[in-house]
Amino acid sequence: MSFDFDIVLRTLPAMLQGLVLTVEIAVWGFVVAVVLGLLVAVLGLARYRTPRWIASAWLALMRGVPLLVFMYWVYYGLPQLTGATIGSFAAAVVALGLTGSAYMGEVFRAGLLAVDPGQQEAADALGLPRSTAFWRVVLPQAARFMVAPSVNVFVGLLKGATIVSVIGVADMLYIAKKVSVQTFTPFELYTTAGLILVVITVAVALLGFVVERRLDRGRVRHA
Amino acid sequence: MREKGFAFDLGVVLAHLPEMLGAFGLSVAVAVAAMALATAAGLLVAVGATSRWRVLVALCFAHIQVFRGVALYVLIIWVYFGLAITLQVNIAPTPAGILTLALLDSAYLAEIFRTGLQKVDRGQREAGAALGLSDGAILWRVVVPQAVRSMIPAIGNQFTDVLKDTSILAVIAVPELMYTSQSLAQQTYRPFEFYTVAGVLFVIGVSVITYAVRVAERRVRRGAVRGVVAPAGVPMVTSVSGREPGEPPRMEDER
Amino acid sequence: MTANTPGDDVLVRLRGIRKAFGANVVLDGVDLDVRAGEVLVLLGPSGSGKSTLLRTVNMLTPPDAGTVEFDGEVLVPPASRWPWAYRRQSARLARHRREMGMVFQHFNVFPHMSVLRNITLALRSAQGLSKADAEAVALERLRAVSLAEKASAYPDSLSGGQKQRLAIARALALAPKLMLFDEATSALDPELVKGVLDEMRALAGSGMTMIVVTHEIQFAKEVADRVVFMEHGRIVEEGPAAQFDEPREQRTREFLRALSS
Repeated sequence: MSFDFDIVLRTLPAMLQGLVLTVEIAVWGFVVAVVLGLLVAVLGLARYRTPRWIASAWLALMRGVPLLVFMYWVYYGLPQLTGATIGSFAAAVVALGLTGSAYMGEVFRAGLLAVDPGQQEAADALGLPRSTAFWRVVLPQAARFMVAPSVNVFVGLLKGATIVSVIGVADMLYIAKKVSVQTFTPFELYTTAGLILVVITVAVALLGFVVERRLDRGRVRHA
Repeated sequence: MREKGFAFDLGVVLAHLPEMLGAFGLSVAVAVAAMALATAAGLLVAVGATSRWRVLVALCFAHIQVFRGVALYVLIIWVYFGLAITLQVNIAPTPAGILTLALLDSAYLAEIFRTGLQKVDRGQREAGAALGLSDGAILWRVVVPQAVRSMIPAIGNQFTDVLKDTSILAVIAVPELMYTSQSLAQQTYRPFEFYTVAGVLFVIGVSVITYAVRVAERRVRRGAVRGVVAPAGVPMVTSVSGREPGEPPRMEDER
Repeated sequence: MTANTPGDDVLVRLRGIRKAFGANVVLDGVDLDVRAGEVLVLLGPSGSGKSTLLRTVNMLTPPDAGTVEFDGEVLVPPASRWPWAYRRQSARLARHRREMGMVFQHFNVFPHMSVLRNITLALRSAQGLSKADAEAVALERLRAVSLAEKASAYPDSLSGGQKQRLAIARALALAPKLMLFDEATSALDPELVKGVLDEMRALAGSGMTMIVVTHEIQFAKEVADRVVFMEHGRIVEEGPAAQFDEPREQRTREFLRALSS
């Protein structure tokens, strides 16, 4: 059996369109994950017991439930509860965001804790308002510790987003499946899809690497 | 037909709980099998990646990069449908699932092993060599025992990921927890109940693993202090808060 | 129990200060007054509690028991269970802290900000100065510690001594009534110590109230109006600097002999 390049070339444009959808879902899911993750991290480092408890319960839940279960739960389960249906795109974004929030929460937490505690002390000793200490002193320094792991989380979400066709999002794999059923060329189309995805994940990982190097250099740019 | 209520229908769940638990048992079994295979393969790849033969190193790195880059969903379809169609290799869903998970996670584990081995202080290898130990003895008696300690949390994380990833095997009809939840949800028109139960079972499984890892970590650390795991004379951090008495703690009183 | 009676020039009043970290009692009932304009040096072996005592003054380490009075007001560490009360308490404490500068052993300059911004941050965000005013103040302070030409540099490019002088300038920019020095020269290479001690000496000469934790005995004798010797969380001996040429207490003698040998 030979590799049918013809079908690959003919299906590629449609597949790439599907790919854009996958990337969009991953990006929006990441945005949700960043917002929720920052919230969880701040709650987890709070002075009060209740927010800390909420944060650890949230983390245990979001880390424990597999992405696919979340997608089905949001897409099929929630409508039963609320009576309102949710689009497959939105369901995928919500599921990715919830899963990602646990990982991002951990990234933010670890990043904030990695900052020399002397920095917070210096801010306190200077009598800086607490918000200034957080936004101007601690967070910018923590950001450097967060870049590489954040990229990892994004790559993870991107890979996770490849599964969205199971709830009917017309992504690259959905197209590959549809066309291969008609033409009996699953090997060609799935191999193509797989290669494209590997290239993209590697590219994103490289991008993160470059950004991290930039940030490191930025610190001594006025040296 | 059952009324589409807003409340959680416990009766439906209880009626099918044995099936759900049995399916979760299969999920756990698949995860354990995949993890065992992946550990063996990962160790080989890690040792290969740190070896002296350049071709082997390149191959091992390629293995790590490719399988860490590829998405499980893509790989499983490729293995299960792709191989069947192109090479006429027909593997039953469950073994195919185990194989795919093992393939993928061998790469992650290899990377964990590799960095763990490299993190061990170079002086330890040199001390072993200076004592005239063989390469094998240096690796297995000196380096690996010290590396294991630092790798336990990452291995535990990997295990939780594998357990969660078994849910994706539903797409090739492995009758594990997710697949069973799907079919029960369709039969009973109660998706909310069954996906919630599936989620809860996974959370319990992951929490158990996380707890076990924490216990193992503590046990190994204690063992190391007694000199059971690490060779004597290895400086080790036994206490995270090891500061001079009287010196103010830095984090505790501020947070 | 405010003691701010007319003619009372006590700036810092510590009463019954206790602090334990777990089972480890670090401060075991310390009473201490520091008068305005006084330079007080805390001496003692490591683990004697002198750094912790210094840190209770600005509540970086709130004591378990006892009161800290600064400028006639009792300092309250923010501890309320209610967020709004906590905010009020921490804002009040921050206001007091701006009147006390602190210099740390490890400098704790902000590495992600230029030298100038290290100083203007508090001026602008806490004291509400305009950018131009804050920079004018900062430049003046930098000139005083001979760092003006480094204004746009980042701390990474400074030596340890320069970083510490920046930290001093940063603290002084807020025009504090009191300066706290926590082993300000302990982390410095020997050849850089002198520059920092010179700044501290000049500051002492200018009439600034200072509490100094240091191991530099010579320096202590030279600038201190009063020396306090601590051990096991208690004050063992205190008196004018000259008294420490011939200490009364056996422990003090042993400690000083060990340091000078």
